[in-house]
Amino acid sequence: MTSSTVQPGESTETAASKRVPSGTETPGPIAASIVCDSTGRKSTRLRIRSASDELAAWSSQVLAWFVRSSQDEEPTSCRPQEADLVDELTRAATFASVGMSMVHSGSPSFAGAGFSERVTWVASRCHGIDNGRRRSDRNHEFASFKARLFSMLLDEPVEDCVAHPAEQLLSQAMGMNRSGAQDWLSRLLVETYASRPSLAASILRCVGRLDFGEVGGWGLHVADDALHHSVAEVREAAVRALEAWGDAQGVRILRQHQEKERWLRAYIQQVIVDLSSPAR
Amino acid sequence: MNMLARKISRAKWERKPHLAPNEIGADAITACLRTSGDALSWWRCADEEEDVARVALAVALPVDKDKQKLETIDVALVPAVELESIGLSLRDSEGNTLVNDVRARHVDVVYFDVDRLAAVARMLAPRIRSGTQVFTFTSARVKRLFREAIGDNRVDPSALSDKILAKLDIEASH
Repeated sequence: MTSSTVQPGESTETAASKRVPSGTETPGPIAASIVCDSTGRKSTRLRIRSASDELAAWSSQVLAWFVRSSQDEEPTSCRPQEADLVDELTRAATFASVGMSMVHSGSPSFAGAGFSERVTWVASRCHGIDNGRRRSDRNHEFASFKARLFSMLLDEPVEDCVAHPAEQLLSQAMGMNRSGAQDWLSRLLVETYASRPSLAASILRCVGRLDFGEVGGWGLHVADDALHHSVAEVREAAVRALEAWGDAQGVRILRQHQEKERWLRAYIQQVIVDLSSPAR
Repeated sequence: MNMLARKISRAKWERKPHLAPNEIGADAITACLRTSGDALSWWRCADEEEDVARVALAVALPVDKDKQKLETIDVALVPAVELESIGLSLRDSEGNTLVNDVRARHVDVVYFDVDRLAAVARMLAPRIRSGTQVFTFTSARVKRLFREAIGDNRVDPSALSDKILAKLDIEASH
């Protein structure tokens, strides 16, 4: 048997078809291994190694496939379930440091009975609640979050070096459901980029003040996107975020960016120097 | 020290796609020139980066620990006489700052009305846009300035939040 690793972007089905050496875990956020029980029956074990930045994306990929393969439903009708499954897995991986183990019987195919049972169990919890009402509740929560955030940002401009009340709102939302909050913020940025760029910049300023552990790869992606905005204020907010997070990938993003405004170009150059300096 | 310095958000002052090149976005006033009692807070300084850095330090962190954020700061300058020439008055007063040796440099500029506020915006905008009398201190520089000021006993570290102290690699003393 040869070792295999589930790679980002690779379908779980493809990954599942690869052979995994017995007793050896594959590297990466999702560890796969073949285990034998006392009767000699083999099964594939998947384990989320840690609550890394990529966790949400990985969980989403894996679980979306689980739902589609174990439930005879159209993908669109599975969306609320997928979200709950991601939440479930994220919570488990976050609060149990060893992560969450899922075992299924049979050959190294992810469509085994164990997985289906697990998925069905979680999905049944979702089915217990009227999906329409759930969607409505989520829409209401999003609308309430948006109204509060906008009100805070419009009432009081984000001032350099001074904490803003909206940061607490963002932190709370992240704490309750990180991937959900990131999704909301992405939506709000898309909504405001064209029509209200100053407001988008304010949102970005608050996002940039969150710890890098809270925003991770999503934050870098958001900042990278914002660097391509036509309004300098939005681009500056992105630079400030990358500066605050101080991540090496952020430096690479800044190095690749072609800035047309002289003052902002000078700022970016200094940030690159600062972040590349060993004595920060 | 014939200049007056004030913290600004530089991006608010730059040209906007929806405005003519010489026009100034209103956000520049609402974000950077928010008066209180028809007065604005400024700091006396010389037109030299080293001296502006002292003022930057004074305005870099609020006194309220819960509100302190260590980040990049932009400071713009105007000559004091230009403010006086449009009918504004300068009143020296003790500044509300963590930096002991610049407290006495604080000035309340008083008697603002809408026209004078717009006039000050028109004084600042060309200076900021040309980059002639505006200084940017990145968060790394601000950190260095704070470390130096704490080393020189110009800033009491107990006045800084634990988060800021951690960023400065200084242990909290409690």
